[in-house]
Amino acid sequence: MSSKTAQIRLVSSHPEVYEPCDDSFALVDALLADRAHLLEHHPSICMEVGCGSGYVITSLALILRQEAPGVHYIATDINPHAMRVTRETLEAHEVNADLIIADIASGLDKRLKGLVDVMVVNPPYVPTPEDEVGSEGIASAWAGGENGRSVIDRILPIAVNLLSEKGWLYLVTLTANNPSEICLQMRKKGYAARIVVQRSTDEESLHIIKFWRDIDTQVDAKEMVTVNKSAPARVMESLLTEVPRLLFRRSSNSNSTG
Amino acid sequence: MRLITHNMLSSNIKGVTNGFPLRIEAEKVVEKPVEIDPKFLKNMFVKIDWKALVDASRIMGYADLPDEANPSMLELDEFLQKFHHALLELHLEEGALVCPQTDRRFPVIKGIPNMLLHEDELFLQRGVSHGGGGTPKTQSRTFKYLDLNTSLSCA
Ligand SMILES: C[S@@+](CC[C@H](N)C(=O)[O-])C[C@H]1O[C@@H](n2cnc3c(N)ncnc32)[C@H](O)[C@@H]1O
Repeated sequence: MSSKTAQIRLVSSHPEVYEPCDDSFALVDALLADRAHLLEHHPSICMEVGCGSGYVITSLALILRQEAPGVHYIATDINPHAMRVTRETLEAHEVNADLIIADIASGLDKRLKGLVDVMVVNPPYVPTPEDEVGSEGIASAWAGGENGRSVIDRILPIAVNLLSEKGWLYLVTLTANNPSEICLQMRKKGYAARIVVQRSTDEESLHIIKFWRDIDTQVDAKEMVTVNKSAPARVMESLLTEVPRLLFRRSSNSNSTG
Repeated sequence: MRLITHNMLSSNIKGVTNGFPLRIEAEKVVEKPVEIDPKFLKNMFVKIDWKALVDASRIMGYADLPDEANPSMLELDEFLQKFHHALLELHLEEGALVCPQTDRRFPVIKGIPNMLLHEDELFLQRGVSHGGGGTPKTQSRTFKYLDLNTSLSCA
């Protein structure tokens, strides 16, 4: 684990709030690995959906603080306890973020549309029975319904609506979520994708995927869909040939970012 | 909750077409100074609904913002200071945000607005069950729900 991520202290916790785990660490490592790009990106507004303990948004603010002051941070969670823990985590590290208890980004869809330059999401992604999604208690922090995709599939169109022209999305996914299908969906909306960190633990294989708007990708995907009926297969194929290469390159240095 | 956030929020109850700006009910306002960043303010200026900011800051007890503003004013230090103070230093700690069309109150508790809707306020848009069912019981259910005569105008 890098020294920067280890600096985050959790000053507060709650039995119903997700404690930072391998997925949280992998997401922060992805942000660290991409730090130079993030600084060049000059984001004005950064947002986290489902901030839980506040570990990720606090890390992001600390990663950018020195060289990119004056970024505005927004974090949402559906769990009011999470908001309280997040606030305490932020305060302990003397960083600011505006917190909103919301279902993904409820209330923000109109006025924040097209303004978010960086969005980070570690969603509930574990495959579970559908009725566990959004249930009471801590289970709703990980329960993702069929293929773990219920909440992810609701987040994607909202992210596309909120992201600015130059906006980036960093998303945690599990192999069971079918990441290449997620990339394909985003590709149809004009987003290119890259795996920033890939990490396998005993139980799960995590991918942190970065999405960004790419004119060529959109044209490409449209053409493929309209010109050729077998397009999805072809898009998938090209993604699949790209993925192992990226994985290979990334896995050789994903743990050496600190 | 700072006024920059207020400027980004609107009511998304089903049937509501005019959900912005949310009316502020201020019970407790605090000021927390932060360093001024002219570049950020210049970036944000174009994204801010000026009238909503002026009205909100007045309700929060700060009356120094001019009624009208234009980008050329961003060159004046005095204006930047006022804009900075209103946007980023005033916090609504306790109170509510009220939907201008239905009077539905979104509570602000310990500085955090709760924008969660109840099942009957949502658009029926998805087949999957979601957040509504998992809305923690701790959230306030004391508001008065007004019947909406408005028809569902957006998809
Ligand atoms: C896997 S946890 C991640 C927490 C934290 N970001 C981290 O990385 O440690 C997922 C978080 O999403 C929140 N969440 C679940 N459904 C949500 C929804 N519909 N809207 C907003 N947040 C949601 C949960 O409450 C939980 O805090």
